[in-house]
Amino acid sequence: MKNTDLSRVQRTERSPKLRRLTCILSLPLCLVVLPLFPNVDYLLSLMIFIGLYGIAALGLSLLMGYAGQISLGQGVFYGIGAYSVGVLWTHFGISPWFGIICGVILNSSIAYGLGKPILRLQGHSLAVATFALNIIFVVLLRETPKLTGGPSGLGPIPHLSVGSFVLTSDVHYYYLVWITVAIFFIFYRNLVSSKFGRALRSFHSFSGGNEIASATLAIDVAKYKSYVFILSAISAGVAGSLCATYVAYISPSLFDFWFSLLLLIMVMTGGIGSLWGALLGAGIILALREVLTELLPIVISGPAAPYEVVAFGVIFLAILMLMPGGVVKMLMRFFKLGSHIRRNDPSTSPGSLHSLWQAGLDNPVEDALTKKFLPGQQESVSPIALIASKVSKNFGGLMAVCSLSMEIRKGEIVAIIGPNGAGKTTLFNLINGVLKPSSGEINYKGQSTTPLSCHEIAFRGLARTFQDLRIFTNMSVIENVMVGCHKWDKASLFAVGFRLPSARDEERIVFRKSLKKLAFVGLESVADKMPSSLPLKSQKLLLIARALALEPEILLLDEPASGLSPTEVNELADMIFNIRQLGTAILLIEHRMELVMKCADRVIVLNFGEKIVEGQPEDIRRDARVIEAYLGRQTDVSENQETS
Amino acid sequence: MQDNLDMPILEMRDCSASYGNIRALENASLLIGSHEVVTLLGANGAGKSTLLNCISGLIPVTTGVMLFQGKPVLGIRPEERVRLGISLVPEEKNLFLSMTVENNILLGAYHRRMKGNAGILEQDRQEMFELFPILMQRRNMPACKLSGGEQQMLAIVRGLMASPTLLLLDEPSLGLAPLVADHVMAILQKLKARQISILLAEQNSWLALRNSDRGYVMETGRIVLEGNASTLMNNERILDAYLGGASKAVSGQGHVVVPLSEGSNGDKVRNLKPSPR
Amino acid sequence: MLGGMIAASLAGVGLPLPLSALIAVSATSIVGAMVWLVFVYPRSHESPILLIMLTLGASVVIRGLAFILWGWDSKSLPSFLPAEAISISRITIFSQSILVFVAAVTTVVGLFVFFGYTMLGRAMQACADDHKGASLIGIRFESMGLSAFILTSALGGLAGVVITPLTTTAYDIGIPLAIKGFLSALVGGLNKTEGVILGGFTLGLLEALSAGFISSGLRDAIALGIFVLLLVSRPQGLIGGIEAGRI
Repeated sequence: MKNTDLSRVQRTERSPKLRRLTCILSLPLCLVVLPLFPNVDYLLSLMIFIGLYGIAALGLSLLMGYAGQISLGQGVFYGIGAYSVGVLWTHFGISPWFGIICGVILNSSIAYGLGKPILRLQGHSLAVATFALNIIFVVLLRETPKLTGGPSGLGPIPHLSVGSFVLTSDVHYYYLVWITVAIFFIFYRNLVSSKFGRALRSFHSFSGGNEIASATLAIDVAKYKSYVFILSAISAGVAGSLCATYVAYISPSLFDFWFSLLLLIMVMTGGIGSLWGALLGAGIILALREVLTELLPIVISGPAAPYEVVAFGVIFLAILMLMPGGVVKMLMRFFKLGSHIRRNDPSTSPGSLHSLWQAGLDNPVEDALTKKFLPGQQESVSPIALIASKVSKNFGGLMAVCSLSMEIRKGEIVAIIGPNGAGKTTLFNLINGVLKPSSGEINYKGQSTTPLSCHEIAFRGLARTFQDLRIFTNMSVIENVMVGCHKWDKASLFAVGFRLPSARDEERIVFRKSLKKLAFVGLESVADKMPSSLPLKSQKLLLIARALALEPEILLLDEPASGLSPTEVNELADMIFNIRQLGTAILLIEHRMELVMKCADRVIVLNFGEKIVEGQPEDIRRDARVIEAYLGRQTDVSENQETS
Repeated sequence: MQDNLDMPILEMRDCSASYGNIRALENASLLIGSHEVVTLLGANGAGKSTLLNCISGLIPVTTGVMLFQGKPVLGIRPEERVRLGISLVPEEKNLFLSMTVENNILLGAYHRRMKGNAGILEQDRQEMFELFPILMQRRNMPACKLSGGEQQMLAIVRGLMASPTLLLLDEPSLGLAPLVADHVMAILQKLKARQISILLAEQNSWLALRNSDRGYVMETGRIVLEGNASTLMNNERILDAYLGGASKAVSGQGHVVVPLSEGSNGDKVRNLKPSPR
Repeated sequence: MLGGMIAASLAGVGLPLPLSALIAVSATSIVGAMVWLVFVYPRSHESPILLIMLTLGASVVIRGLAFILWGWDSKSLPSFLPAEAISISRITIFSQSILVFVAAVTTVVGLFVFFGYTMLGRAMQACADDHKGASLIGIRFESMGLSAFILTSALGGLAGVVITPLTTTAYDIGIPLAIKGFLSALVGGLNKTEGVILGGFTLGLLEALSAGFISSGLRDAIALGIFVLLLVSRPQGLIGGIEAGRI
């Protein structure tokens, strides 16, 4: 996705900037002046349809590329948009403008209602379910002739009018449709390059995200998937409504499975995850269809229609096989635009990074605005931050954790050790809500965590890192941390989409907050780099910074020292002490004893899911039970001689 | 028990491998002779699993040389290495959980199915059931219903059905009750008699060393110590590797480590210092 | 679709019925293998969405080619058994229906035997269960993919052949049938033959009942609607097995 970031003052060469500027502006310019040329009526009509499909495709691209959900049912929303206009006019004589609004409301509600259950499905299940919904929709349209006109449909639907000015000609509709395209495009662009887009990318596994890691950062994944689904429904609906007023006659067959498939084809041709791709895809596919309709009768004698379908299909398959990333990716490589891809909001580009750094990060006004605790939350009064009471977790027949009880006090550093398979990571999963206990209870800040979901627990101030990192690989270092700041960003979807001042302010605040966290761990100089380019130690620090962005009261660290050298482990120990200074309690799973000995106030030893010993580090190290847990029993001579 | 190192089954020289940014294995060199039992020791994250995965072909080795029975094997897919005689029993076992115990065992011999081997395969199966009678009892149960220990045994049997020359075991005693773990280890000795070489990665050092001929100790991706099992059992460095400097405290409390019979035969302890970072 | 169409064409030209059926099923299997070779194998490791689109695209192209070859016509085959219909008291049953039922049962039993008792079947099941474990015992997952595709295509072809005498066939029946088949499999429970069969029978039953008792026009809508509800409330299918949610 291209970025209108024009303030990359880091780079001294101006040609890539200029090149991008030219590319970006040339297209809208062409679009604006097109109708002024003579003899373009046919082209205008085609462009109107490209625009209509484009609006729907933008929504689908958002759904597929950013939320990772596949839908073969956009025809439903397109149809609802069209029929809202049609039904209101035909039966009640209500102006199509109200029809459009009604369509939006109807689509949002249906998408909201359907979204929650359906988005629990993934991949092929979701595809099949949405396909089925499309079939159901068309059948319902056909079988309710009193309302929808049945198979013969509704019409004539009048063209839209503003006051007494009726949009009769193609030129009028051309501008109307493409202005709508522009509005949707800009809205989605803003969403994607803001906290919303970051949140989406954080859980979408094909763009380097991870659902559980995302939930651990207080992101309500289900809610976001639902929002995107609703947005895609609204896009398709508006497109459908406009289409109804343009073509004047609508019937069920326009909104069937083939429409949804065509839309999907457009998005995939252009490239999933690219808003430009959605529009380009719409253009290419519709143009291709026209070209085939013109060309084939020349080449083949007889009815050409069936050959069109085959040729179309073959070309589509070829595109998918040769350019699986879509046309946009290929073009970007061709014009060498790829290297400057950055999804940041322009105000948070590397250039502004440096100016911020120079200006100093402290801003009393801003700090006053962002309190440590959000309204409704309180700092816990009791000295005990978390208690686990007789917690057990059963997987089928396997007792991973067995009646474990433990507590953490404010500001404590507690280490959990034990051999492989002892249940340590399961315990973490239970504490932060990824798993629910089979029995027993975990109490955080006086409230049981059992009814809470993972992101709700994170929201209340419990942060966690993972043994297998789970860095969001498709985002820069600072963007990773900004995902962690999610819970502080209060801007609404509307504000973010239209880049209202309140949203821009929030983004800046989050940016500075993130930069501060990076400075805390010492990574501020690499804020705009991609995490894969960093050494392991820096990656681990990034994860800590990301977790700290939640300003947690308890931080769970899962094997932070694995893979580090002894010197690095020492530095990590210092970092842990620094974190404790912030008032955060730390619960640590670790195998590297140097770290445990240095940092821990208390050590808990697990084996076979049970707590076998708890005490001071020095005592634990000498405890015979602990040694046996790790190294095994030393038995007497007789058994030795048996086995040799 | 003189080891036959003249014709090593496996030879690794300076092998390194990475996961993305992490150097999981660094310049590892080792030798395994025919019918030897060798143990890899080290704390979690030391690289033992990585090493085993590299030998079986699941993780690509970026530098170095690996020879199996004298022939280079790097670049050969895991499915092919099984045919050559390398069989890995992974830590997660990777059993076919929806299938019966019997089917899991049969599948273990998948690559041997073609050559009219039905008779031999049947014989092997019977042997397995004799070695592990519990599996015989549960032969028609789906693997997901077995206990942890039974699943581990099944995984080992499946690995053995491939009739390997080199059997790789990743944490075979993990999650097993001590008696069961002992039983599993005892089996290893019987296997040794059948000309199978075994390389196992174990956290449970003493149990492993008691049942092995030689061992290598790993720390953060490198092999730092190697030697005869008996010598290693007395070596304080191992305790350091796990519990960081607790060795003196332990000896102080009077736990005596009993060496295997002759002890000083062919003492070969090399302290390999890790290179400075 | 291909199964029915090919068999019908061959029979129409005069080939004896069993031979036509055999050729039809074989041809369909070959088409399946080719789709796998050209589209799936080179892209096995890409995103699932891409694979879905590729196979969907291939279906559309095949459908188009079918139209070119055979046009709008719907084709039929004579009933396989000599008696067209059997009457038992007041109920008339087409003999072909009985045959279809028998074929279905045979397929279920056959698959059961295949997956439980043959090496290839077990290997496929193993690959689905745990592909790391499968590669560790020497199973190449590409061969499994090819085998799976051939098996699916053959079964699809067979289904087409046996149902044609009852419902006739045309170029466009393929895709809706595939979706219904898929939906049945998902609802019944992927990875378990019993689940898939349960799903299929239930869908068929629902369709027939809705058509009979409510309205034939709404038949698809009701049956599919109920099925989507079932899928959503139990993503792993009625009988369980792997979670149909995640790929």
